[in-house]
Amino acid sequence: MSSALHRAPIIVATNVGKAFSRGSQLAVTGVNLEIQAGEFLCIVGPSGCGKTTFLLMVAGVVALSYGRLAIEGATIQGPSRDRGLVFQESALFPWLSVRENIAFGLNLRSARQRSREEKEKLVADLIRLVGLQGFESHQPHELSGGMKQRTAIAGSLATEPKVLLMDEPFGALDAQSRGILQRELLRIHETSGRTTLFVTHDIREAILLSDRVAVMSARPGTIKSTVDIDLPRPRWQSFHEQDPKFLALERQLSALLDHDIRNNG
Amino acid sequence: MVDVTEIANSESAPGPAPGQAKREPLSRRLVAILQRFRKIYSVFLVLISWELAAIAINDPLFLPAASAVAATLWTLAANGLLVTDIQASLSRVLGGFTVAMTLGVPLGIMMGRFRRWDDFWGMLISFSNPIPKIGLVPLFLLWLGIGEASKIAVVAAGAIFPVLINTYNGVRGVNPILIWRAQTLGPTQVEILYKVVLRAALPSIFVGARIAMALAWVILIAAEMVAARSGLGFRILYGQQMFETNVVFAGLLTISLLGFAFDRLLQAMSHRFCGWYFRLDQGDVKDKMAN
Repeated sequence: MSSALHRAPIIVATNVGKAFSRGSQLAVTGVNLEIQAGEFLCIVGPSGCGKTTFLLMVAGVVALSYGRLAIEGATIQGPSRDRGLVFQESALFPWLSVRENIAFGLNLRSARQRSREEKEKLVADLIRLVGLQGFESHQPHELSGGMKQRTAIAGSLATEPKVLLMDEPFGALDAQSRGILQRELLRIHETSGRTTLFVTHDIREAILLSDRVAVMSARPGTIKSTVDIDLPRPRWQSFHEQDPKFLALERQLSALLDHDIRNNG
Repeated sequence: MVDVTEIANSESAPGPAPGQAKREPLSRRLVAILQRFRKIYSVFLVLISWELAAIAINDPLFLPAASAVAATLWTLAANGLLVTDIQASLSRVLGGFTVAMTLGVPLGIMMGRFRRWDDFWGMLISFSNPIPKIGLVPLFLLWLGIGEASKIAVVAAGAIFPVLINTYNGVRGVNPILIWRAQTLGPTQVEILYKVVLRAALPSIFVGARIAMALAWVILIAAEMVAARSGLGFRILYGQQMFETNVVFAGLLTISLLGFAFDRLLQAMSHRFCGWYFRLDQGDVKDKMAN
């Protein structure tokens, strides 16, 4: 479904690099990547390869040391509501309820032109979308890890970003919750067609979710290759991890990653 | 879902075992009553020891009995002197405290959030913090006259530092991920400051406020002893000069009670506005119970 939406690149990275202090080793170097509108792209790589740093640069919260990042042709100069961000560690505002957390972006001056009814309806729709009915008034500390992430995802969708950036959002969850949330993310993506850049170190998760997987290596932190995941969509209702195509992709990506680990290990 | 707080509570206060009579045995009820007042036994112990020591020494000029001090408090309250003194001291403490908060919180937030503000003010604050604020009394008398302004200024000059330092530390400690996430939701710079930074730093700001309130009383009483014709500090010094040790004790006791009340008030406000901070994070436990 979303592969039909491939038209023009929405995000373009040209020779992007990052050094955290002058003269120090580069965390990210020479990254060239085009993300198509509507595409679900995963970046996989060993820990410390700079994949999170790259994601934070796309978000605009970490500055580039060199190169250029552009969204729809315009250079990214800082964070913006075009690009929603979801972290592994839940970044909910602990003083706000689930509903208030989801509505945070809608209660800002930047959303003041929207009517109150419109906002309330949007928040109610999002609560339904992520399956948090009945938990609207709960505080973050009363939620399980999975529910926290549902709240964070809904909060990022509330401002209707052009791109959703996710940094190992299910990394801290148990296997069962992770499985459920992966299917839900697929459903959300396959019904909304929102461009998503997703960072993970889990190869199976990357294959399950994405249209394309970019493999990143450590030292230097750069994108080594990209692999198309030409598995049919929608995948959220049924997906066969025993599918020979799936297994072949898993082998291919494992080999790409292993090679890197062996060279640097 | 299982309510975790219920489990946690039941551990500290075990109920009667099933099958047992509904009414608890007398001994258990007695223990419960004694348990309830466990925090004030030390206060009673000191009051009783004080009373006994005063009887033994039998020199009210050296140590008046607790009961005598209570009687003095009652007399001072009845003739209106105590009310006047409290009014005078309270308005100065609250005036100075308010000035310290209105200047200290915004400055602490700006310094904690923006490097340039930190660079500009940092040294000045480090140098002025160790100045004994009582040493400023002659200066403020010279500049602001002998009226209320000079006392409020001295209190503010002392109370601003704990406010400033705790606000600053609170802001520095805000999880950057929280700010990053907020930034991707389209806020203005000002919205980041009051909707995220201020809210996240609020528990630290309340710590600063509590220290500032205690310090405000200390500074004010000293200032009133040096240069005032009214207030609790003046009353204590006057009592000593008149050889009325019971008045000295009455003044000290009043300050202690007022200071305690304000600290409790700030503590209650802190729990009211930062409830999230004081609740145990039960997320991990819940994760395990929900699955």
